[in-house]
Amino acid sequence: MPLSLPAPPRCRTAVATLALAALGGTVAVPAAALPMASQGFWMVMGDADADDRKLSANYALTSRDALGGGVARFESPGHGATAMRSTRELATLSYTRLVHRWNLPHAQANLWFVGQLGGLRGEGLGEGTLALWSPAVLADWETTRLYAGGGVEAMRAGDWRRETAYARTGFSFYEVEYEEVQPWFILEVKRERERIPRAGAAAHDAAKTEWMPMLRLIHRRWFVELGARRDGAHLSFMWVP
Amino acid sequence: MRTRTATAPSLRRRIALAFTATLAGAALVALGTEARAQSTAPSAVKLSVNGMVCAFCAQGIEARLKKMPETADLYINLKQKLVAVEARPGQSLPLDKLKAEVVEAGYEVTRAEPMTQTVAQLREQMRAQR
Repeated sequence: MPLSLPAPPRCRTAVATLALAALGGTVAVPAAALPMASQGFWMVMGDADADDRKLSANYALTSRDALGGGVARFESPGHGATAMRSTRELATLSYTRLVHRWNLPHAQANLWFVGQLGGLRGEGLGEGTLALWSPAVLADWETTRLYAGGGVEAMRAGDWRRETAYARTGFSFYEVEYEEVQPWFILEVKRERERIPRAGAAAHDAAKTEWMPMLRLIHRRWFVELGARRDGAHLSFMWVP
Repeated sequence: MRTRTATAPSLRRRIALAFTATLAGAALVALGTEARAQSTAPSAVKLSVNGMVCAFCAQGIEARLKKMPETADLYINLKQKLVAVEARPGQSLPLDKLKAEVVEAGYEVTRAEPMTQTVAQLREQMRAQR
């Protein structure tokens, strides 16, 4: 989804950041394990469903740090209840940090931090682009047959704010050889909350909680998830080129 | 007195000779050990890797090990948390470098040992055991 910048920017810094992000490639916190590749490798990530589109990429500078960027377009969580579509578009630069990894005899667990800086625009947010910042913390634990993970992400742009929290758990149907595709069943619950400032009136709060069963397929450099929500299908992927 | 002064240089010479011989012997032993180590450096190695639980994790290890010029073939078994590497003909695998690559990929090597089988043989053996 192209992100066209308005001519009269409300914040020049945000526009500069936005332009840098667009040049850099892409953003967005993936709701999946391993949001970065091994040192010296790129990772490309994407999400798409009826409400959200995200495309991001990062490059692992070290085994624990990655820099990247991305673009996203999503709907306000309140649009379903009010029948009012409030589309937001953002572009960010991101920093991903593997805070800690536990390499256990039959499992792996990770704690991640993802920070983003960028620009946001959207209906109800005034004209121009708002400077946006966003910290997120993700955690995951998995064995060859079981997976559990979760995360929280906060976004701030002026008086606008949005919080997302999710938890996932699931299992693989069977063990596979490394060269084979491994299918998993994953169940996700996600809570989104948004506060939209309104001039001369109280801020509007919107929130929604969604459950989504997913089929996850892992094959070496590919990680694909196909899910079903009440309002349609969901696709997300990670790819190490 | 005369006898003592006559024998003193001889004793010093003997001590010097013995010291030189000891040094030379130690050097030869060291060289021999190194040569033996080089000649017995493994051409195939098995690593036990903690934390390697999914293919998406393991591909990082695979990519790093395949970049090594010595690597000819590689086998990964997630269930056994096993990585096996085979060297190109006439080459040997530096164990420390192999372990360092896996650690740099973000995982822990708990065991590294030479392998008498080829990677192809190990792959077949593992498939037969499934």
